[in-house]
Amino acid sequence: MTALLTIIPIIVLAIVFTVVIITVAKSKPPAQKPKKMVQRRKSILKGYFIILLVSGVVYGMLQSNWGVIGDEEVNNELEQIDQEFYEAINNQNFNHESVKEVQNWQFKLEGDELMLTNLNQGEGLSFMVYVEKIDDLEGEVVATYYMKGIGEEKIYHPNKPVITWDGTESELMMKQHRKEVKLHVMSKEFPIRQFTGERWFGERQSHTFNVHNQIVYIQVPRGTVVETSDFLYIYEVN
Amino acid sequence: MSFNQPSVSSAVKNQYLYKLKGYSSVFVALMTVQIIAMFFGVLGGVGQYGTSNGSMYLDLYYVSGDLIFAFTCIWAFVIAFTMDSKTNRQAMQVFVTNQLTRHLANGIYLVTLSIIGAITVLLGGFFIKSIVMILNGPESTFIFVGYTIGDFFIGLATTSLYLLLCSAVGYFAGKIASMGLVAKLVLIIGFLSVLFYNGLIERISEFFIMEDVFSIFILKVLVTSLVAYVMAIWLSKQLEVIK
Amino acid sequence: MGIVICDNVSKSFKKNRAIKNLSCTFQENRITGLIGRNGAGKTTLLKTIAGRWRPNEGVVKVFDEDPYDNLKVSANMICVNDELVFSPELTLDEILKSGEMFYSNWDMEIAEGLFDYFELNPNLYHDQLSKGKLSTFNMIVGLASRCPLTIFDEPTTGMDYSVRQDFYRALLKDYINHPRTIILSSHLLNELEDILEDIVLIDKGEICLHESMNDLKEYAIRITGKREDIEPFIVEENILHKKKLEFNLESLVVKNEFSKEEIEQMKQRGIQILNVDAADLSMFLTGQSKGGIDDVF
Repeated sequence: MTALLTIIPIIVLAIVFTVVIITVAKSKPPAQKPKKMVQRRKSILKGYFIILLVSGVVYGMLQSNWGVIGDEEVNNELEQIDQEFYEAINNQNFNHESVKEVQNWQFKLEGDELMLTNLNQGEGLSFMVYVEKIDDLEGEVVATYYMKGIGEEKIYHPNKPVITWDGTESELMMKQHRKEVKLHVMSKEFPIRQFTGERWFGERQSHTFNVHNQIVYIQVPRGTVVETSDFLYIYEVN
Repeated sequence: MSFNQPSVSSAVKNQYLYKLKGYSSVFVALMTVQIIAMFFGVLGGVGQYGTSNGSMYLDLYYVSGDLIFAFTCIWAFVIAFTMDSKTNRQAMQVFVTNQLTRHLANGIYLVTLSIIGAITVLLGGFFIKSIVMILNGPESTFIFVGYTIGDFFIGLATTSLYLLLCSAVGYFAGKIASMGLVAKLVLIIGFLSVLFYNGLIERISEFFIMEDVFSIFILKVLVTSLVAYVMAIWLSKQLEVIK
Repeated sequence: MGIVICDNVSKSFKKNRAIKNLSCTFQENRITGLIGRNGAGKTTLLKTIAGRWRPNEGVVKVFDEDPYDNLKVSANMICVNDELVFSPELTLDEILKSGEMFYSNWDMEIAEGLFDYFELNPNLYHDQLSKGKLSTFNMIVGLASRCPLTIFDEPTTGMDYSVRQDFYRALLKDYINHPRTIILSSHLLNELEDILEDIVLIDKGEICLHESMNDLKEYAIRITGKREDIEPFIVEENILHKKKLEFNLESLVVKNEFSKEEIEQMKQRGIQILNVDAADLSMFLTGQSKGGIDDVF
């Protein structure tokens, strides 16, 4: 019911506008050639209805050309892509068509301790880091940022992260600018939503939005002890 | 000279046609109201959504014809409110009429307005969406759930019913407004206090809004509208006898 | 046959009684004039007949039915007054077409002919008309509808003299071609004399006279002569109007209840006997006192 309360100002506004408009429309000011005026009003009305009809057709074309996100088909497809991507990463199958390398960093590591720090932790922005320990890496740390390689056009990508030494050559700093995307979601009118179980807008946030999840893949020499700060989660590959 | 024995149906039909032809300003009002709603609709929208790891923040603007729908409901109420005003009544009395045929013609006219209003609400929704989509391009716009033909008919029926409900209540309210000042004040104050006391207004709106079985919704709206309409006619008879 | 029968009808607004215990019958296929001063109750009576409201007391019958809220009466009756409201969005032409839709006897030829004659622009709107043109248009609607009962309430308001004359002629001609019951109210009788068949005089909400036009002409006479000569012949109640002239002469309007012998006797005494103009008579009958405006000064 709170949703109803939040729209009360809008309703009040609507009432005021409507009443004013209707009174204005009804009290016809005396004009010199009202016959012309009435005819003009009638043709404006006709024009309005034609525009409405045309926009119905235009919308129909847009809907069939641009596709529908909430469609089960599209959702299944995206789910499929997700699955393939994570499977490929887990299997270190980086040449799979679902995996695309975006950036690669190489660092010289001093000692056998590596600290990973998330510089964005205050913003609630977290990193998921895959760590692989490899024998023949001689004091090197290799970090790679991967994204999904197929269905890119249907996915919203965050900004690329920046990974640097903090100066001590034993602590890697990971930073990322949060990306803000403005999206217009076309939804049905209330009288239709009422019977499709959606009703209020809030309820539809449960729908999946296909945002690309970050994968930072780090390879370190075997024997390195890896520590992390908050908001940075490690998934050890082997 | 022979007398005409007019049938109720032909009198109603003639009055209905007369109203339809002679009062196109209601459609001008409809258009203006909807254009303003569209203006707000293109600008506005609500909703925000963040990703799970926080690297993205999606500002979601839900675009729909909801505002057009709300404005049109109020339009229906106001139009019905003035439908049986003194001037409009006199305009009917010039020609063949009695109370029954006048109210019937008004009723049919309001049903017609509701249906036309509903069509324009849905098309207006398409208009807003088309504009927003074309202005913003496919990158930042998407259709969440596409319309089906069935949606369109459900929407048409439901919107018409809501508009009919608003107009029936408006018709009744218009009759109350033409009562004497004291009776009017007592009724309005009583009505408002009942509405805002105890959250009754919420329960009343829930009665319609929260109904998700279509057939029961139809029943609720039709019965309520009919009751409001019959009460309006009854009130109208009382008022005219007093005069 | 009485098309309209009022029996003991009273109608009051708040405390003001507009018509009081009024009884009268309007005959079928006659033109009846309802004559009375402003505020005499003409409009109230006509609206009661037209079924706009119910009388407080008494019975009104139109076509043998209660006219209030009656579809049959509404379909066979039109009441033209200067309060007619039409849709502000219809041109005069479109209003005529609407009339044709409603009234089965509607005569579009007459309507168009009168439109041309009175040079009304069919593309104008009702609320754009001047007072005189408005009355002309309303009159055309009233004539063209050709209802078995046609009521004109002060139809000539704002019309200039020649238009009034044309209107009366048009009314008469149409009436002769298509006889029907017409009630015509006015505060002036003089211009109507030639077309009316019956006359109803109404004053202060009461009927003071209901006669055919011919009877009205013989209803009263004017007697002028020396006061002492006249006095023996006069019954005080029958004096409708009294005017003192110079040289002790008096001019009286009295009800014509004299026998032939009395008339002869009067003539012999040098008393002048004249007919009374119907319009003057109606004024005397509905006059507030036996004096007149002169008494004020």
